[in-house]
Amino acid sequence: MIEVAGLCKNYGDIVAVREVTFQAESRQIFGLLGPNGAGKSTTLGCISGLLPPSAGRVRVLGHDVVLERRAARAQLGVVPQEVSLYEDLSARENLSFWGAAYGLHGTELKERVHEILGITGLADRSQEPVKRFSGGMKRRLNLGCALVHRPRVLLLDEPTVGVDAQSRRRLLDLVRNEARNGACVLYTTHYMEEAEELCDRLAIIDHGRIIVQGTLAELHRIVGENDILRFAGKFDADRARAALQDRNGVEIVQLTADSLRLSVAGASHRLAELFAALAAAGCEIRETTLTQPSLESLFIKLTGKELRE
Amino acid sequence: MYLLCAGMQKDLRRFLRDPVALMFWLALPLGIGIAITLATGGAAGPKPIARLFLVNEDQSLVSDILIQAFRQAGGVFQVEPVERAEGRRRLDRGEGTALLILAKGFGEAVLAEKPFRLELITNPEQRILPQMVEELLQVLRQAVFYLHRLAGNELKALAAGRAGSRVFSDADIARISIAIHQTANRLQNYLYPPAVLLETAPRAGTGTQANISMMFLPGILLMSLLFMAQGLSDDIWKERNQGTLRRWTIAPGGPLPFLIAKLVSAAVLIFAVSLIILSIGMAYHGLPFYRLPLALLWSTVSGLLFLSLMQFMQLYASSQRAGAILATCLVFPLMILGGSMFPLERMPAWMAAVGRCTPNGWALELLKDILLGRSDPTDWSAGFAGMALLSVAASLLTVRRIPTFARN
Ligand SMILES: Nc1ncnc2c1ncn2[C@@H]1O[C@H](COP(=O)(O)OP(=O)(O)O)[C@@H](O)[C@H]1O
Ligand SMILES: [Mg+2]
Repeated sequence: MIEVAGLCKNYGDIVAVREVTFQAESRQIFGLLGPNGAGKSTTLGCISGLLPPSAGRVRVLGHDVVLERRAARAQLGVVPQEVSLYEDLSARENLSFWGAAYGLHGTELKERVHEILGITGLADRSQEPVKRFSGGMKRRLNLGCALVHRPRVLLLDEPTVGVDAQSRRRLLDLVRNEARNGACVLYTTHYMEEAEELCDRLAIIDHGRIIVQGTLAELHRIVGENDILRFAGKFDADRARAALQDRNGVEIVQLTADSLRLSVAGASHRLAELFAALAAAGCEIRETTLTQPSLESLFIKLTGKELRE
Repeated sequence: MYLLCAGMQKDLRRFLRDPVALMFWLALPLGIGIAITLATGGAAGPKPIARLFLVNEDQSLVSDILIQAFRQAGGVFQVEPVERAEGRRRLDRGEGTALLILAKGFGEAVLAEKPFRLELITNPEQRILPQMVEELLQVLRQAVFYLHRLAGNELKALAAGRAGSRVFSDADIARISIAIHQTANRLQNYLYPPAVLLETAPRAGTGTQANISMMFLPGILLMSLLFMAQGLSDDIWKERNQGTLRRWTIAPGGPLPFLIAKLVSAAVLIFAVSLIILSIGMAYHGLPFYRLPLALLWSTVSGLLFLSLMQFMQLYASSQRAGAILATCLVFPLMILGGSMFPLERMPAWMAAVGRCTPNGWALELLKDILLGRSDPTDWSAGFAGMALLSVAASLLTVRRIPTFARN
């Protein structure tokens, strides 16, 4: 339903998105996982029509977003990263307006607004101006405004940033429900747990590039059994490398003068051995972190850094 | 179409939820109108005359000239020669504006440029008129000063030879009349703001004659329109800052329908404010109401033109604050130049010429003609076409710019 092929977007000299290619299907939640500045919002902007792509193609339900703008956009529901609501209007008025903006009217609009107020849990506050809402309520309404016209493709840009646990639950349930009802959902986040919990298929993006993509199961297979072991301290690169090479099940992910990352099978059983080897190589260790197999460890393995750096 | 209705509903709701701005747009012109009406004693009230009691103990040519100057200053002063004691008494009873005493030796002192105290007693119950007497005297004092710089020797010779004498050669008289003429001209400019309030000269033309505060009605309305345009153009920044402009941009029809809805909503507000101001103003000045529809239409279209121009300008400001400052920097000079503060008729010629070229000055002139029933259908139909064209052009440029504006 969404086809992105060779998408590039430059801001002057800055390359925000390079050669991004993926497809997302109906009834699927496709996750775009990456740290801040990875290019998630830019990718979404190119799909929604907010940004003109520098190169590549984007199709929504077969309609090119640049050439068949109207047809492509009519099927899209977009939840921007920043809350985008009329602060001095009520929740009901906001929903009615955005519904009308996508062609709904009359009783259909009224019923749909009523429905959305129900599923977002805002029914009892529907007459209040939005500026009195909490962050979580605004986020729910922000999502609601994109749902009024029953879009077949839903683009969500970090919709749970800065919301309380309860609102977050509710938001994730809503998203899941949309997918179950047949929508194609593209969901960006920098929360690994959220991606793991929610998404059927995932692409990990960093520096504007997709570094890996697949179903959750496929990605876990790539992660393998290895833990990620991170040491901070002082390292003599050559001696450390010599000491660790040829050690069974140990792989150096990253090695600098003050940090070392290893991918190790069953790391918790091998700590003593590794400490000893590193000490013998003249390394000084101040801090150790062990990350069990997860998307986080996959990200570290692929980029040599943590997701939330 | 549904979008247009929904957009209007949304914008009107939002505008009306800011009643302070709305009150300001209404209260400002009405307040100024009332102030002017009070200051001029009403449209039908008597023409204000400063009754000046004059004690002439000097009896020289110079004092005669001074009296003449007061008599000729726009017909504002009614000069009444009195004795010192009588003048004092009558002023105390509040009968006059001021009592001016030209003591003996005044003329001589003026000619010789010697310091001399003029005694001026003003009526504390009147405000503007006594002040005018004072200002007129100030101007004359300056005139004397310049006269001395120009022809000081001759004047001193005059004083030395024939001080107090009433015999002057023709050449003397000629010189002095030139000086008086210049003084009178200076006076016109100097007295400009108060003179505006006193302006009663009937205007040429076939329609209704304009009286004093009538001249202010279109100016006040235009001022209100400028303020409305300024306030409403800020809304594009609100849309941007709360992120709704991004949603406009990615809607199937793009931002155009949203912008049209906003302009139409603004037009409704401009229409409403114009209707109130024009109805009150026209009723007060006894203007026939069959001129109202055209005046109203003209006012609304002018307001829309200002709004679309200012809105376009807002898109190039670096921030909402910068936009607001920019708009203010534009509105005030336009208001002053375009005849909203002082009628164009009272401006120096070059300023009036510039003023007529400002959008609001131009709109004002035609509105005045419409109100006075001397407008020409070819004039205003061409005007409407011009304004509509400009508004559409500005709005199309605005739509083109909105996607960029919304993202950054
Ligand atoms: N308007 C812009 N002008 C210049 N650079 C931008 C602009 N918007 C985003 N960028 C840059 O593009 C990159 C990707 O940004 P973005 O897509 O917002 O990342 P994400 O949403 O993943 O946090 C970042 O390096 C960011 O600094
Ligand atoms: Mg982002």
